Amino acid sequence: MSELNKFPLNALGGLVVFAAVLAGVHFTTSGRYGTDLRSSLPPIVAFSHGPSAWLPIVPVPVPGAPEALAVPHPPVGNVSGALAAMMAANPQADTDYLDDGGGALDHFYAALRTEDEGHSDVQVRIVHYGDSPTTADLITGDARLILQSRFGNGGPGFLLIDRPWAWYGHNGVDLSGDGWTIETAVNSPRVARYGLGGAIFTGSAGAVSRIRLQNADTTVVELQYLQQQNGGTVEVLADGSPAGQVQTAGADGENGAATISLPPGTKELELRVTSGTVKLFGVALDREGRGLTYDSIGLNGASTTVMSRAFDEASFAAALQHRRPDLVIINYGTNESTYLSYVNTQYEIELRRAIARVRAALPETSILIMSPMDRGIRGSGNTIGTYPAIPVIVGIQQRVAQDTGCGFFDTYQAMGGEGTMERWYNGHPRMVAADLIHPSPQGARIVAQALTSQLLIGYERYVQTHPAR
Amino acid sequence: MLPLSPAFFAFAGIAIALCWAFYRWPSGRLIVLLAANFFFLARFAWFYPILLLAAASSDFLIGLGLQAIPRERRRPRLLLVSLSLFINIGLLAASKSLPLALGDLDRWVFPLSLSFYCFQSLTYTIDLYRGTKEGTRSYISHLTATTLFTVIVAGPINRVSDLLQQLRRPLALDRSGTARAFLLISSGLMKKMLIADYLGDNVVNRVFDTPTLYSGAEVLIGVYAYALQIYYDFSGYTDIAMGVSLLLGLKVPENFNRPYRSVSIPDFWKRWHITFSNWLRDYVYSSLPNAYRWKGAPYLYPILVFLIGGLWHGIGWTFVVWGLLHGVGLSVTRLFQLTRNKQFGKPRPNVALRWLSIFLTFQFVCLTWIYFRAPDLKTAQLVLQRIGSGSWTVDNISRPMIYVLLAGVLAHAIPAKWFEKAVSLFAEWPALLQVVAQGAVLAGAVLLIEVLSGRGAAGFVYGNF
Repeated sequence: MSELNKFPLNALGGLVVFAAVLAGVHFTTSGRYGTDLRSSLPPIVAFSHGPSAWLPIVPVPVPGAPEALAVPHPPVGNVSGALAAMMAANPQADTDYLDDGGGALDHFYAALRTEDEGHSDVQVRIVHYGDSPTTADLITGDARLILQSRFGNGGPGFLLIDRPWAWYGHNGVDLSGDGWTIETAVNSPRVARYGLGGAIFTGSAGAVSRIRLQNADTTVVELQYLQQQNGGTVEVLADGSPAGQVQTAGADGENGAATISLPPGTKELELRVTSGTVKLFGVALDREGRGLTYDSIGLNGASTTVMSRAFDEASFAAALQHRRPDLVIINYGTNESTYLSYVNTQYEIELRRAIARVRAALPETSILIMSPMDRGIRGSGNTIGTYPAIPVIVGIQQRVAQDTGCGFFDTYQAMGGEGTMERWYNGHPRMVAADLIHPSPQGARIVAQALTSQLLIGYERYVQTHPAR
Repeated sequence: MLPLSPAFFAFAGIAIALCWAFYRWPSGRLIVLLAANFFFLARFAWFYPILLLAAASSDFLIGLGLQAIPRERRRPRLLLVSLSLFINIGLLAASKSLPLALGDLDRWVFPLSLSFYCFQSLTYTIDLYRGTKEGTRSYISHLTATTLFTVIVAGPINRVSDLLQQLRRPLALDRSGTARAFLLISSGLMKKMLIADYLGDNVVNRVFDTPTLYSGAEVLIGVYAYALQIYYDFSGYTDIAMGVSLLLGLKVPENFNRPYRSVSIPDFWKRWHITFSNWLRDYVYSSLPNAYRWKGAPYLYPILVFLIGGLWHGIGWTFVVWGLLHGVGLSVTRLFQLTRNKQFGKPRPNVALRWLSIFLTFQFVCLTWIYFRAPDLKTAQLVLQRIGSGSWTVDNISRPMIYVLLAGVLAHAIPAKWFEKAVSLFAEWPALLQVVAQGAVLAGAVLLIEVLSGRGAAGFVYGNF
């Protein structure tokens, strides 16, 4: 008999076996695997309700920062005016996500006020240590723009000599280099002198670094290097013309720095090794006069141990003392979050050690512990959750900050707390990359706005509670 | 109820069982299948069954007119087919331009592509106009064929007349067909969820979201990963569509034939999205003036046709560049082959040359995928810049990513006859053993996916087009 036009018991039997196996596995694994047939059937008739059940057009909510944190996008708008208005309307405006109690950030606020009131030409300086988002100048780049629009442009700030990672970047600056051997403090097998920026660039005659300044706003460049007895020479060219020479010879192992003034409107800098071998840390691109600089020091894959262990303590202290920041931001935690047991046992020790190093180098300077952002992890059924270690890290950071007299900024809660990366990933526009770690430029801007608006509210409150003498 | 969700398979299982319950009553079977089609559409929004009922009814009436009017009366026939073109292309254009018109803050959430309906529906009226296929006077058959739920998401693009012919025949499903259906669905699920989705989430999306965060080598791997992702995503979907259709007693055409083993761009388009390239050839290229008579047609028309094909994927410059590259690639290859054959004669088969051709074709296709995947030209340029940066670290490529990439490459190299052998093997087993084996294979595939990926499926790439 032909098998055609015959009820296909064979196929239906296969479907029954398929369903039975999945149901059996579901039952025997207590629902971990397999399929619960009872829960598979109702969604078949789960028609949606409301207008979208008829017309498939739905408004897509744009995820954003809480209203209290909203600050006009840079460079549009007068941040000071907006804040002053906010403070006037609501004198109790609070720093919900910034803990600056006990005068933890008073040194920084005082420096801002001096700047604001025009009492001196000394710049306010922030040094921000972080991991991969900082490496790409995400968050820090926007924070720099916002704060400089309020307190004046002090220049692009600290920059490495070449790109240790493909994505190393700095807003407003194009950097390229050739001929350098690069060693960074991340995954370094040894404690070493990495200067301020966590990387050292060794180059012989011919090694070159090219820095293009998009805003032509730098008036002075400071080359930071490691002195060597037979250290070589670096020539600095501004727009192709010689601007100065730096001899890196000196007491072996000491940090060195040389400042060179640049012609107004310089757009392109070239650092070229002309003789011997040099070991360079980076350059500080500053603008003379009043203003604020915001150094973004991101090391890809960095954790707190970079600061607590890998940096040579004396060299790190000397670099910090030389740069004289008014605020040091320590912004690690994302890379530690993969290791919950490490977080539970060792993380606090490392954080306290890192803070102690900065405090010992700069006793007066304010220190702000900035928590990691939310970090997403994919679960079953297409869900995205929060890495379990993230809230634990945030809790440790908050407690340690209070114990050690540091300020604390809760990035995690400011951006929305648990599940933020799920909302950011599924939102429109998407605000985090598919790795659920790295924010898009929009996401980074929201974090920068959250940070700077809280700092500005803290500053305004400081001004109100500390009348000018 | 997206395809690949448990609800979809439960729905498909019920539809298959009900269709077969009416296997002795053809009209009953048609009504069940039509109800399933409209139910499937309504689950997304009631707008779709209403819209497609109106559009398909118009084409059915136009078809009746074309069957009634003798071929000698060209003008009224041309008028009718033009009306069908106007309706279907209008529908297609509206569905493409609506998201742009709505702007960024509203989203057209249609996960089903109207374009596959339009392409399929046009085959009916154009074939009738040309007199190359037979029509139908059965309204239900026509509605059932044009809205078939197994292929309406992303094809394959059927000739409606072929589906009508199959619907007229008694239901037929032999043991070999059953085995093929189960194996197709199993392989489709694994292709989509173990390879395509993994590569998409872990490599491709990351690289194309933020290319500047990755080294040149990582971005290049990301581009290769996208080539594999889009192939396994689309061919996985096609396997499932073919398998479910087969269980409903319908054969739908193949869409892929190991495309990355193509030796040239024309060869690629004989192996990639075959029903789409055939559709472009039969309904766009051949409709252009003097398509087979004018000497310049083989060099100019492919560019025009692929520009249209590019714009079908989306209204944007990236798709224009993608279409342009393929069109130019086809024309240049044809010109090269013609010149070479004239001067040196057709070359003898040469293994080294063949592999070189495969390598170069693959690189060209990957170059075009950059424009296809990048959200805008700026991102495409960044991707190319990163690749050209000469930075060769691969710190962000983990071992599991390498394993999945290798699995993708190896699976693509599996000879097609191995699949046929597996089908024959199942069909030769005793009936009870086959029943258990095919059900167990499909369940095993689902469990493997659950254990390894632990998540649901992402949407189909081609569901967006």
